[in-house]
This record gives sequence, structure tokens and C-alpha cells, in this order.
Amino acid sequence: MYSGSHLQVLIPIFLVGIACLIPLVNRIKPGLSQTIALMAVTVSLIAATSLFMRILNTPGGYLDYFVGFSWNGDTFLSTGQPIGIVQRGDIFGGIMLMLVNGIGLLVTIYSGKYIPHEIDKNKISNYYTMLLLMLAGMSGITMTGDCFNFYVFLEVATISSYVLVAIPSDGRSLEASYKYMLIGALGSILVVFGIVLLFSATGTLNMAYAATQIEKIMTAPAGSSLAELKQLIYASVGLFTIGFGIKSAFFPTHAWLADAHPAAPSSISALLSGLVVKTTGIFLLVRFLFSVFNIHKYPYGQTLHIIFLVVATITTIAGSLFAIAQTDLKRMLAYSTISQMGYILIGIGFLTPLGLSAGILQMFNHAISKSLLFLSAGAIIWKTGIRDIRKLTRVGHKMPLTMTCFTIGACSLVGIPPLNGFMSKWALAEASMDSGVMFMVAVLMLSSLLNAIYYFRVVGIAFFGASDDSESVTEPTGKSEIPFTMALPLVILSVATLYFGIKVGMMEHLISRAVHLLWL
Amino acid sequence: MLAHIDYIMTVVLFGVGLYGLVIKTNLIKKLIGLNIMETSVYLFFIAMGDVRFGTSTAQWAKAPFIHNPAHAARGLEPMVNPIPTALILTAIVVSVCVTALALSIAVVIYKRYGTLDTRKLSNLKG
Repeated sequence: MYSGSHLQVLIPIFLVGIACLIPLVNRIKPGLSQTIALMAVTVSLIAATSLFMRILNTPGGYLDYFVGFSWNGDTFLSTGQPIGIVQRGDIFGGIMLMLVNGIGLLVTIYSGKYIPHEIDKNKISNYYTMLLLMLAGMSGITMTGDCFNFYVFLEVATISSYVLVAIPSDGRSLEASYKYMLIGALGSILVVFGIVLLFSATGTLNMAYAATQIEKIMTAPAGSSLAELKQLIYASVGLFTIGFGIKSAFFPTHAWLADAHPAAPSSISALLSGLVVKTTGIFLLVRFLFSVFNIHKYPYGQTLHIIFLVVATITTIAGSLFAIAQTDLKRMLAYSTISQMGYILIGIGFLTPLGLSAGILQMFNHAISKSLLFLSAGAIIWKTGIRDIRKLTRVGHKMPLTMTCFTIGACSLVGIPPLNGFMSKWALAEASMDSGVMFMVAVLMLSSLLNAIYYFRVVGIAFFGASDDSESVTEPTGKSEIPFTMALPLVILSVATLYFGIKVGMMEHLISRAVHLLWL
Repeated sequence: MLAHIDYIMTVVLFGVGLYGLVIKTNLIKKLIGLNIMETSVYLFFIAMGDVRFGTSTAQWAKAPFIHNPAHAARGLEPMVNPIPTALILTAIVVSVCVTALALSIAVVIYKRYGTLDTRKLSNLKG
């Protein structure tokens, strides 16, 4: 019964507890917020690593943790469903948990020197509170096995991200946060509607038990009482798809991302583009569609197959086309996020194990690369105050380390070997040839070309742009260009980009184990 | 038809809320539209979770009992499942949170720009 580790619930609880502690400590002795946040996220990362190692060594591949698991000595009800809420941590969730905590730690280190430049001094403790809450919510989402649980953590993560987008408090971020909030709440309420229909058809909120109930419903003979519930299942699948689609910014509903991600502080943009849009959007979409609804087994999978491929193609191409037209650096990166999320959906939309693992690999690699890009864009803004691409001439000579890291991230997303972006695009192309949809290979190549256009434009202007001022353009200054705590995450992420590109075999092995579990 | 009045009202309220969220240009009216839409979903679930009305879902609308022969021998009446109410209370709390946050941002926007109209706001920011 109880095979899980306490860490599955302790990580979110611990982060929430420390997040509530920060305003209290700030009232007594201000200035300690960053230290507390740093210690909390470090502890959380160590805990997440130990939990992930334990998940990897479990023979079944997942750990079930029953919260409140027995009543009068019974763990299961007479119907077979567990009494308590089940936290199920499998390998897919473990990968995302490591990603959330790892990139969260790097962003917390980076925020130390970056944040005082961007927001008011007396809002810094609020910033760290919301940052810890967002990390707690996302860590909780990755470990859920129950619909109730995931909804609570989903809302914790998204509401803290609404606050974080609004923290700079200038007109643009307020309006972007309001728009983000309205559209995000629309997505959430559609997800609630989906949970409602799922519960009314299966009678349980537990994901694993709901999967067995759905199997009974979908294989019931026509005309029986169970077969009438099929329509509820169809409606539930549709609502979940649209709800999570809004949260991951697919084509018709991508408008909020282009405003919210540039308006946030750069460290938060890195977290939003790299993690939130994935954990709250695509991770949950995969979790529901493959673990609960089993779309690879039932006929509604075929409809979703076509819809996903069409939406993903449009998202990828349209995102890149919009990005080419941008002049603001962070807005360009935000449209690039929309385009890369299209890649993940292409991988998922094939409904084959190869496609799903290519999609998850792209999710992992994009999280690392996009965080790297946003953090280095933030470093450029911190040092020079320039956000306009056309004015970034010769920045590569003033800030060589930052621009090198930016170039590594850009090359990874364009798809240059041996960086990790190339590996995931290769996996996607392999998956598309394996499932016979040759058209996708052309879409992938076209999109790589479009990515190259707008990324290499920035790199070209930064390194080779014609300079009009002649003051100290080529000689390096004595002191370092950006503080060590800001340079360290950039270097670590660049090394990670290279590492996960060369050691892609390890990631593919891990992901194939995760997909095997999801495919059951 | 009138027996399903709950579900019809859900659809009507959802439509009204969606209209308010999308078509209206005042920030507060958009927020009220969102609230109406969320309320319709809660109504749907509570209506479904009732033992009297949910005909196709009556088997789960009763709270599942732990098998206890002593209770079964006394023939207890079905209770309404507590899970829908608990989930909807959680969702209501979330909705209140989002409303509070949106209103506070609207207050700051009004203080800074003097208007709550989205058309004027997008012109002002330039």
C-alpha cells in the first residue's frame, strides 16, 4: 500500500511554509528575504534529487503516497478506490520536478543582484514570497495523482505568476497581468468543468481509478447504461484539451503570452517561459490525455491526432513569423516560446511512443534553453538598459560572456549540433517519419529556418553590428561585466545545454522509461 | 425539459459570462463576466451532485460507504457525496482570490491612467 516517500508531499509544503515565513521575517529584520529563499530552494532541490533517485530505483517506476490513508483500518473503499488523496510520482513527474527545482534555484541565485534594479525596494520580500509559492505549486503539480490535488497546486502556481507579472508596477506590466489573469482564469474554469464531467462519469477523482472506470465505459456494449456515459467522457476530453491549451498558449489563445512574458522581470520571464507554461499546460495535458483518458487506445484519439497536428503546425509557423517582426528583445523571445511549444505539441500529436518521447525531450531542452535566453536578455537589460534589438550594436564586445551564453541558447533553439535543441528536433523528425506524416518534417525544417532568421539577427547585430560610437568599443574593462551571482546561472545553463546535447542518450533512456509508464 | 432547468441555466449563464468577458471593454465588466461564468460551472456541478436530480449519476451521487456489515444491516439512507461540495468550495476560494487580485490591479490602473476602458488604455500606452 504505502510505498511512497514523505518527500512527495513535503516538498510543496516546505516551500509554502517558508514562503509564508518571508513576510514575517521581513517585518522584523528586512533584507534577509533572498537568503531565506535561497536556502529553501537549495533544500528543496536536494530533496527533489533524493526523491527522483528513489523513483528511478523503484521496480514499478512510480511511487504512490496515500495522504490520509486509512479509516477504521481500511485503505480502500468497497468500490476499490483509495480513501485518501494519492500522490503518484512517476518518472515523467520526476523529470519535471528536477527541472522545476533546478531552474528555480538558478533563478533565485540570479535574482539576488537583478531584482533591486527592476522593482521597488519594499516589494522585494513580496517577490521572493511569490517566487517560492510558484515553485511550490509547480513542484506539487508534478507529483499529483488526484484531480483535486492538482487543481489546488495549479491555482497556487498560476495565481503567484499573475502577481509576479504585475510586480514591476509600470503600466505595461499591469495591463499584461490583467489580460493574463482573465485568460488564465478562463482556462482554469474550463479545466474545472472538465473535472466535473470526469467525476460525473467515473465517480472518482483519483486518476488511476478513473482510468480503469473509463476503460469500463469505453468498452461497454452499446445500449447499456454505461455506454450513455461516453458522451460525458468525450466532452471532458474536449474541455481539458481546450483548458490546458489556453494555459500553454496554443494557436487561437496565444495572445496573452506575448504581453505577459516580456512585462515580467527577466528572472520571472525565464521561469514563466521555461517552466510555468509547460508544467501548468503541456505536462498536465499529457498526464490527463495519456494516463487518465488513454487517447492512444480509444477512438477519440484519432480526432485529437488531427486537431493537434493542425494546431501545432499553425502555432509553430505563426509564432516564428510574429517573432521575426518584433523589435523588443523579450517580446521576440516570448513569440519564440509560442513557436517552440508548437514543437512539443507536434511530438505529442503523433500519438506514438516515439512522438511522445520526442515531445518530452523537446519540453526538457526548451526549458533549459529558453531560461538561458531570458536570463541573458535580463543581464543585457540590467547592464545597458537596452531592450530594442536595433540598438544592441556591438553589445557582444562590451559583454562577451553574456552574449556568448545568449548565442549558445540561440544556437540550441535553432537546432545546431551538438547542442540539445538539435537532438530534440532530430527526435521529432524521426518520430514524424516513423508515423508517416512526412509533412511535419517540412514544417520542422521551415520553422528552424525561421528561428535562424530572428535569432541570428540578434547575434549578428550584437557581435558584428556597425558601431557609431567609438568609445572603448573593443577594449575589455577591468572589472567583470555582470556580477558573479548573475553570471553563474548563465554559465551553468550553457554547460547544461551542451551536456544534455552530448549525453542525449541518457535523457532518451530516461524518457523512454517515462513514456513506457504513460503508455500503459 | 423543465426538469433539467439547472443545466439549461448553466449554459445560459456561461454564455452571458463569456459575452461579458469578451465583448465588454470595461475592465470591471470583464471581471464580472468571468465571475458569472465561473458561477455557472459551480451550479452545474452542485446540481449534478444532488441525489434527487442526477439521474444518470445516481450511483455515484451517494457517498460510497466503507463496507461495514452492521451499518448495512440497518439499511442507512444514501447521503449526498461530499466531494462535489468540497471541490466547488475550493474553486470558489480560488475565484475569490483571482477577483481580489484583479480588482487591486484595476485600482492601480485607474489611479495611474484615469480610465478603465481597454480601448483608451491601448491608445494611451502607445
